[in-house]
Amino acid sequence: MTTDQPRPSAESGQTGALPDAIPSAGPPLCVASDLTEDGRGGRRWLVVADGEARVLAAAGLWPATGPGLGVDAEGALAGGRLVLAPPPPPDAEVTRRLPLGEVTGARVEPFVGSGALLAETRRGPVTLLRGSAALAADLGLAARALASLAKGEPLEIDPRDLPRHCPRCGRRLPANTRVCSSCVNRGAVLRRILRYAHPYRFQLGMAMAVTVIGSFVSVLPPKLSGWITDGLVYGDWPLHGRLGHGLAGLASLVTLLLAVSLLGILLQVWRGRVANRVGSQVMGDLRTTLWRGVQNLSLSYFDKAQLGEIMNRVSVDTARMQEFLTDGAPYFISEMLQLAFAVVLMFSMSWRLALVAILPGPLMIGTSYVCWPLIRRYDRRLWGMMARLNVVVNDALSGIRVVKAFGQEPREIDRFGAVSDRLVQQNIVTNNIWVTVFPIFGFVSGLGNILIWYVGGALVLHRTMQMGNLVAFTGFMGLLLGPLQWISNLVNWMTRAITSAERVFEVMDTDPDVAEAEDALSIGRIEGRIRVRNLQFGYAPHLPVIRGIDLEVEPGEMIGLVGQSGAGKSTLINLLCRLYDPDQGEITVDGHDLRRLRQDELRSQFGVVLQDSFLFDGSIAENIAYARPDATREEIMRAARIANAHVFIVKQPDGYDTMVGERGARLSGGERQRIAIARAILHDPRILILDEATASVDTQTERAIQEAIARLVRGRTTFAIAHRLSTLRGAHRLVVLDKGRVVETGTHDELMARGGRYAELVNAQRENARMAGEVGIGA
Amino acid sequence: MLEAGEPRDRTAAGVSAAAGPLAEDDGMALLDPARLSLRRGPTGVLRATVAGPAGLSYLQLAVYRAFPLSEPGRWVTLLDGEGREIGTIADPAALDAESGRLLAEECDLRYLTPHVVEVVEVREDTTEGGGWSPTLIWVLETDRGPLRLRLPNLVDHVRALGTHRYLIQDREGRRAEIVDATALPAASRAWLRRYLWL
Repeated sequence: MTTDQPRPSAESGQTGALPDAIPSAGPPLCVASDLTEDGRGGRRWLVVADGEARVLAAAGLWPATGPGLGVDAEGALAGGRLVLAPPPPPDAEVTRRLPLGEVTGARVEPFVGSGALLAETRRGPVTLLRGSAALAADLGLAARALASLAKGEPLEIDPRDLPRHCPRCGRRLPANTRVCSSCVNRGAVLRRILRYAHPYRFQLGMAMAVTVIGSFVSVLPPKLSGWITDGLVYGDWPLHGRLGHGLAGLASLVTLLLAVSLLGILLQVWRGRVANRVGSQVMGDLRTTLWRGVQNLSLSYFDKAQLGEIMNRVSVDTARMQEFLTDGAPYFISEMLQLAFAVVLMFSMSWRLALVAILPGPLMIGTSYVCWPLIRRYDRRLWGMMARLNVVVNDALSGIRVVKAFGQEPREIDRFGAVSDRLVQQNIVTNNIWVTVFPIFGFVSGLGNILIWYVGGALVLHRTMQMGNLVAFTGFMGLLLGPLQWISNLVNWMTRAITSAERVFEVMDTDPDVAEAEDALSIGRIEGRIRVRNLQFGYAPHLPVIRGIDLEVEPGEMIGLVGQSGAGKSTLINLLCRLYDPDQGEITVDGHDLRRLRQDELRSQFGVVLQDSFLFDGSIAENIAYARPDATREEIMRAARIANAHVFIVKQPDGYDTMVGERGARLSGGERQRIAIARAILHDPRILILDEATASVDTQTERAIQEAIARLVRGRTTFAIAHRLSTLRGAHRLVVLDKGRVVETGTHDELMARGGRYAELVNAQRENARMAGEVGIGA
Repeated sequence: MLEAGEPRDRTAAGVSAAAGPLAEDDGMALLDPARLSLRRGPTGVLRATVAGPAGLSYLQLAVYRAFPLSEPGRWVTLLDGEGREIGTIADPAALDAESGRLLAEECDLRYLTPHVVEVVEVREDTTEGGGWSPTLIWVLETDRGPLRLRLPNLVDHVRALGTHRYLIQDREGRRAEIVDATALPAASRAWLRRYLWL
């Protein structure tokens, strides 16, 4: 933790609650929050001890270790205790006591910008703590712990759910990552990029050598022009006239100048090509590694991150890194070498004049440090404006049907115009800065030249220096001031590349939530017996979606999952497919916990037919054979026939070779579904998931799909979700879910006879069906 | 839907007609403020009672502003403990004083948005986001105490609600509102000029 900021824990003399430092005895739950009862900043604790929950209040605010008013303590779980905050100071006042016996449950009520931890009692819910949004995860964990403690159960919390902190700066890490973005070691990031360049070290070494020679060659022309001047003015030909005198001397020097220029160009081209090749290859390697990382991420990562952002990382950030590797770094190195060579040559010619020459250097660096942040800020603003304009364009284009349908073209034109006007204003301001700053840079660098002419001219007049040196110096000035002008921008450039690298590495470093067990079991072909025990899960820890489900399914049984939207049907399916791991409880397949099984084997025996059947860019045949690329044509056709898809496929102009997906043929919803069913049939899974497999199709198509499904489910353990209850006709058993719990199970007839929740749903749907003139279940 | 500008005595007209808690009005379940009263239960949780022949009362209550940004003072929808809609109060000012106070209190807690009274400082944290787009740390003084917000960028985290009104939301979901930028102290306005499009 940070040493410069005293933490509240220090007051009570107890160390921070790191897992090994947490005392084995003590209150089983301690959590702190950063808001008072009336929503002001403050310090509050919830401590469970001696059979009661206590809310404690202390004066003052939390030290601003993290962002905002937030408490920023580490969490720990040990010996059946959950400690999410340093203990309250001794002078903290108990503001509320609630005997655990009165608590029947606990939950978090999420508000806007904040949240509250509530305990359920027989007299009604009691608000125990309020906390800012930053503490939502803490409060969620505390609610789960409080509920368990109240029931006298042991805490069942996954240590991975605990808030994690950067070991270096102590700042709380965002969920899902191991890397603290504020503490990334820049050097380490650079080294890590360079590690990818390791296979190309020979080429890089060559490029480096070429760069050194090239930089040296590029500082020679001013020196040569100096020699020519001395020869012409004083008849003093260089190297004691070994290159000839008079016209001959001039000719050899000019030839040398030409040769040096040509060599310089050749070396530059060569260097550029090597750097380009290595840079592109390194980035190619990195991009592939990144993509592998993205594909291996758990689904929950995609819930939290935006797709556009991930795409940016794969394309934009890697491109920035490549730009740095191919252009930035070689440019930087050669400029710096050139600078060094020029300075050495200048000092060897005249130390006095050399001192004068580098005099404006610090001034230039200083000016550029003052100007760059300003330019950056305006540049960023311009970028933001541009982004807004893009949003407007993107919006109006992707929604063009809506725009046309509502006749809102003039409005869209106005909207664009308004943003464009602001962009124009911003452009003028930003470019004004550019056009002001650059002449200033030019002036400062010109100052050096002016000084050289005066001081050098005086030296020539006093005959302490030859004319040629003065000419050479004016040539060097050009080489010298170029790099100086850009020095702080280069730093900026590097920062940008490193930032991109951090974002790229962050994805690579993200732990998959659904991790493969180290000693994962291989169980071969599964039978399909599934047991669900006390299953609890929420996408966010404080918002449970599944609140305790128990279910036993025999091999080959078809289960229909019924319930209103939000009842938890799809979430249960996600858990069965192990796209997420449960918070509590377990799912077993043939007696083995899902988490203990090898994921690749498990996935190969799960088949899914989803509501909106996603077809990949490719032919129909490739789509059917997606899970089994080695399937023969005959197998593909057989699967399509079973799925009632064969006939419509052969009617396509290109038959099974018809391209579908993004750029391909337009298939109707029913056709896509049947292709997806054929895909599942060919995949031959042991456990089958049907999610709303028949929605929004006409009766005839539905019959065709129903037939296909009936063939598909035979002999497989099947879970089917459908809003239209008629789809579940073939189910052996219906499981009715409500608010994350099973409320009824049984066959259609049993449930109808019982007249409970299911009967309600069926009747409601019959009512709707009658109104819509459609046929409902059983009718 | 009712237009915001429509006269609110239309709700009062439904008093005697409707038997339930709602004064049915064009499909909008508007609650009659004259018959609604809010009180806190023994555990501090808000309760609602609707007077009338049916005499309904709700032991748990959640309040939601329909337009928390554009018209926070009106259109409050009440849900019961199960998340079912009880109805919408068009104008909380028409409630009795105690109910109105409790409703405002509850709304303020749900939509916890401190109002900025001073922008102490905006720091650029170049260790995060790099030199070009550093994370901005806004050190604010609000009517609910000091607040520090961490914004990875301005585009996604600051929303202009009007010419001089801004909503700032940091990456954790904490919020602050600048009600009127022109009313802030000069130093604060200078920070805003530097970072916002003032």
